[in-house]
Amino acid sequence: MKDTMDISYFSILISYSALVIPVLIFLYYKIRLIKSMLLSVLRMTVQLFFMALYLEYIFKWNNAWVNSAWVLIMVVVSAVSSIRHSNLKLKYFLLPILFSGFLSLLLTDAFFLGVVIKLEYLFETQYFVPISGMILGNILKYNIIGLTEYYSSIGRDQDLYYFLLVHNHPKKARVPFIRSAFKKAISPYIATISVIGLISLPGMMTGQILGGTSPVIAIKYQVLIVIGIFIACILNLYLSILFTNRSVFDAYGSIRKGIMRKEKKNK
Amino acid sequence: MIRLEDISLSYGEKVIVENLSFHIPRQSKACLYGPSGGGKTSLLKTLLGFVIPEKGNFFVDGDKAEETSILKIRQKISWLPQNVNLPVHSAEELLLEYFPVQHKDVAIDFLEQFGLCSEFLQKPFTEMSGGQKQRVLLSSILSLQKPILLLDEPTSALDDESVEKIMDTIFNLENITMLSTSHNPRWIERCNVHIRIGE
Repeated sequence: MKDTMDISYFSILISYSALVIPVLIFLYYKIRLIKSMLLSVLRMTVQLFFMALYLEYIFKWNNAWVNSAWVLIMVVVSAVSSIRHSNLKLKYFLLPILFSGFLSLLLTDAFFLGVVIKLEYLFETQYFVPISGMILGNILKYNIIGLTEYYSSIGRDQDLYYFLLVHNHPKKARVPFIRSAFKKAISPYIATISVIGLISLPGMMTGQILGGTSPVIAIKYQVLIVIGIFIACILNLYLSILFTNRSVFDAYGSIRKGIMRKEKKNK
Repeated sequence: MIRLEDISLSYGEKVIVENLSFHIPRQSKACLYGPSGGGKTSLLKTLLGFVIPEKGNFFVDGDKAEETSILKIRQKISWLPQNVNLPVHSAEELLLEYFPVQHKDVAIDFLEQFGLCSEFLQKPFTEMSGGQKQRVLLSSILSLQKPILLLDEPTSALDDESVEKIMDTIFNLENITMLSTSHNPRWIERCNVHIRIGE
């Protein structure tokens, strides 16, 4: 295997020039996404460069407390960002989503890093930080889809929810809505899993191969991360529903008013 | 059995029910009637704790409705909303999966009284007419044998013959206190307590 070729800063600047294609399409159709696209690209670049600087030190120190703090910051930032991008209010959802995200990540990491890979040092930066980051990046996305569906469907089918609530315990009345949330959130990931290696090459595997790892080892890690993400997604959505139920429903079993933010109308 | 004292309901700025009081004695068959949008359905939901009145109190079987007593009150009530999209394919599935105490034999008795055979318990809802589905759902909730029955427009999807069968059965249930909403003159006439809602 050859070493990975470095990319010069000038080449990266050239890669940005390809953005002229979406800009032209957005301009032609008057799609108001140019500003947000350019801002996102700028943010991504700055964030990744800072991360690269920070990771240099994280790898050098290889310290359990520093690594855990890093992952914790990622959990907080992802939770806040994903709630803001959804229709839900931080006031009701931040703490339960943080707690469920942290707990599901902890359990998944402990199982896959400790039991499956059998790391002697569980907080080994090389494994702990990237694997936690990959899991986290995925679980929050699917979690928000699931939670939004859960609370929207109860609002949509309010009479069904009330009908079941009158004739049974609240836990039982929420079952059809939990089913709907899991289906909506997890089905896309199941579909993605089924085509991995067929019509898509996953980022982690590609990164490892580019970094000089043998494809067989890269595939083993990819299988592990796909299963890890899947388990963490299920755990996280389940725990989020469980924890948010406590803050979102009132003593009468109804959803509190104002848990969802008003959507901004797009002109 | 059911007593409302000075109940007012509103949606935002709009007042839909103002200072309403009434009493429905045990074993009565009562009907809320009046124009659409007058707050009849909201009043039924108020009794279940799903719509919180702006002011006033209500009592069900002696219990004042509040956060701590609402579960106890609900245990005494069966309710059939006007339209409900069920997450099951048949009444049998509904009884087994969502009703904690199943009395399948009682449901079959009611089905027969409503002019349907016992097979309707297993028959998919998608293969039934609106009237058949309504009768099957009524049989299912009546099988729970709760003392209070709330019905929202129970005859809206029914033909004349089915309406007669349902009325004959429901108005002869001596141990049940029933509060319904209806626009059907025959249904309203058979009730012995009438409460007009709206202008």
